[in-house]
Amino acid sequence: MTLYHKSSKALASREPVETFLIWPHRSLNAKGMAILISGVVIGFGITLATSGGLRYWPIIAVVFLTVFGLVYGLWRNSQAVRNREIVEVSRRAIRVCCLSPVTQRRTIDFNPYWVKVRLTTDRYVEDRVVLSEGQKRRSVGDILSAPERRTLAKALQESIDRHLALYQRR
Amino acid sequence: MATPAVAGAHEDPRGLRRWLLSTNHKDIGTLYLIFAVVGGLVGGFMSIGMRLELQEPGMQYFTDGHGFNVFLTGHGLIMVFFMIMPSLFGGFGNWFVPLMIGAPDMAFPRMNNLSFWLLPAALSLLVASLFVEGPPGNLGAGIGWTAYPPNSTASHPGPAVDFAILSLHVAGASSILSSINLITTIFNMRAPGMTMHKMPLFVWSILLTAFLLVLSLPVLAGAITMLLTDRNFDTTFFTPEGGGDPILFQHLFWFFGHPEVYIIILPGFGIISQVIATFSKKPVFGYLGMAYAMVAIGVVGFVVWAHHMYTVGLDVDTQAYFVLATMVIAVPTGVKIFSWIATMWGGSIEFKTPMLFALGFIFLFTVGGVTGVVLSNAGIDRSLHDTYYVVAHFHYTMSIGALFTLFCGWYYWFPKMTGYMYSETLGRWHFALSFIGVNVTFFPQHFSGLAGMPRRYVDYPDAYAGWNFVSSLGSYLTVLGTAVFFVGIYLAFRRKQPAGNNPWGTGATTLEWSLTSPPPFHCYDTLPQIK
Repeated sequence: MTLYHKSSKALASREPVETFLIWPHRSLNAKGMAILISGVVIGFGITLATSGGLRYWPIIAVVFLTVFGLVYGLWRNSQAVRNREIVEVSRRAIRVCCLSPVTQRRTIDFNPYWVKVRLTTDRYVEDRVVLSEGQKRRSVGDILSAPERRTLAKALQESIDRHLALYQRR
Repeated sequence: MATPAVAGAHEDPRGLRRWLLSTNHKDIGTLYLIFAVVGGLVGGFMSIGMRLELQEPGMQYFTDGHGFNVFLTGHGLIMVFFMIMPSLFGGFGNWFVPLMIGAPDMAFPRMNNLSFWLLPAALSLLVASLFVEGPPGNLGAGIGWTAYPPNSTASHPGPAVDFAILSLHVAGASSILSSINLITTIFNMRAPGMTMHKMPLFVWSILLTAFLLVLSLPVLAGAITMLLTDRNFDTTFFTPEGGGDPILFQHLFWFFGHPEVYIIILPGFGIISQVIATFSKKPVFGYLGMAYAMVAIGVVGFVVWAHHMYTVGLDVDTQAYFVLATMVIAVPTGVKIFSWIATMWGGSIEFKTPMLFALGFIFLFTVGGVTGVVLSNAGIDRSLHDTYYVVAHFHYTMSIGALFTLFCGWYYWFPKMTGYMYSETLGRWHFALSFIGVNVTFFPQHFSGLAGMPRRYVDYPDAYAGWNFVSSLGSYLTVLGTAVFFVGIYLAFRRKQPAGNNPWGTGATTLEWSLTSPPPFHCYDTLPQIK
C-alpha cells in the first residue's frame, strides 16, 4: 500500500490544499502489465502453433481456460491500483473522494472545525481511521496496514491543525 | 536490504478454522508440506514393495505382473504429483516467495486455499483407482505414469483408468491455479525496490516453474481428456481403427512430460543456490547467469520432448534435431553446476546439514546429467530405451536429485518455519544414510540396464540377480535414513530448542531471515524498502 502526500494551492480558491492519495502498492506499472500479458498470449500462441495442439479441441479448450485464467488474474490484480482514496484538506473543507473501477465516484465533505479524526478498533480492523462530524462518518485508508493507518491519522490531524492555525493567523 | 517493520497483533484463527479455511500463505505452505510427507510415505511404501519383489528372481509377493504395474503406476504418479511438486513448488513456494519479495501474502489468498484442497481430492481419486476394476478381472490401473494407449484404453476397460485420469485433471487444475497465483504475486506484489534482478534465485526458480506449468499442463489435460473421450465416448484420437494415432498421445504426453522434469527440479535449483551462498558466506557467483540459465533450461526444455520417443519410428532428420537440442540443455545446466562450485570457491564453507544435502545434490545431479547426455544420442538410446539404465538416469535427476533439494530446503528453512533448531547430529546421519542408500540403490541399475534388463517387469532372468539384490539393499538403507529424518523432526519439536531469527549468520541475506522465527501470522504490514 502506498500513501502519497503533497501540498499545493487550489487554483479556484487560491487556498492552500494538502492532498493525501492512498492506493495499493503494485510492483508492475500499466505498461509492464501490458507487456507481460502480451508476452503470455504470444508465448502460448507460439507453443500451441509449434506443438500442433491447435488441431485438437480438448487441448484448445484447456489452453483457452488457462490463458484466460492467467490474464484475468493479472488484470484483476493490477486493477486494484485503481482503487484510490483522495483526502483533500483545506481551510474550508476536508473532502474524501473514493475512486474505484467498479463503483461510482463517492465524495463526502467535512467541516475542518468540527471534524474528528479517530482511530477505532473493531473485530476485523485494528486502528481504522474514521473521520466523523455529527452523524456523518467515513473511514479512510482501510487498505493500509495498521501502522500505516496510525501514521495517516497523525498526518491528517496535523494537516487539519495546520490549516486551522493558518486561518487564525489571518 | 532494509529491515522490515513487523505488524502488531491481529486476531489469529485457531483450530479447524485456521487449517481448513486458511488463506494465510504460511499455513497453506505448511499444509502442502504435510501433504507431501503423506504422499511421500505412500509412494515410498510402493517403491519398497517393488524392491522387495525384485530382490530375487521369481515371484515373491505379487501374484501377477498387473499388481506390480499398479504399484509402479501409483509410485510414479504419487511421487511426481503428490510429493515432489506439492513440497518444492507448493510448500516452499507458498512459504517463502511472499517472505522473500516482501509481500504481505499471495495475490489471491482464497484461490490459494482452493489450490491446496484440490490436491487431497485428487489423491483420493488416485487411491480409489486401486480398488476398482482396471483390466478384466483385476483391480487398479497398471498403465505407468505415461498412460500410453492402447494399454490405457483397450487393455484397461474398467473404470480404474478413468479415476486416475480424473485425478490428474484435478491435480492439474490445482497446479494451474497455484501457478497463476504465484506468477501474479511475483510480478505484482514485490516490495518497492525489489526489482526482478534483485529477486532471490529461489523466487526466480518458482516463477519459471509456474510458467512451465501453465504452458505444459494444459497440453497434458487436453491429452488425457482425449484419452477419456476415446475410452468412454467412442472418439478415436488415439485409435488407428478410427483414423487416430497412438503415437500422437506420446507426443502430447512428452510435450508436458519433459518440461515436467524441469518443473520438478527448477525449485530445487533455487534452493541449492540459496543454501550454497548462505553456507559459503558469499553471494552466489554469476547471479544473472544463474537466473538466465534457468530461463534457458525452461525454454529449451520445451523443444526436446521427442528424445523420449526415439524408438517410435521418427525419421533420421527429426532424431538428429532432438539429439542436438537435448545436448544443448547441458550448456545452461553446466553453467549452474560451475556457478555453484565457483560460489563455494574461496568461501568460508560451513558443512551444516543443508550444505551436505546441497553437495550431495550436485553429485547426484551431475551423475544423472552425464547419463542424460549419453541417452540423448538416438543411436545409443535405441539399445538402452526402456532399460534400467533409463530408470537409473531419471531417478538420479528428478527423483533422488529433487529429494535431496527437498531435504536441503527442509533443513535450511526448518528453523525459520518452526522456530526450533533440529539436531545437527541426526541431520548428518540422515544425510549419510540417504546418500549411501540412494547410490547403492540406483548406481547398480546402470549396470543392470547396460546388461539389458528391461524396466516395468515383475520378474527377470537369474543373470540380473546380483545387482538387483544390491539395489534392494540400498533401498532398505534409504528407508533407515528416512526413519532418522522423522526421529529428527520429532526430537526437534520435543526439545523446542530456540533457533533464533537467523541461525545461519551473515551468509543468510534474503528477506525472510530478517523476520522472527517462526514469522508472525501476518508479515510485512508495512512494506519493506529494498535498497
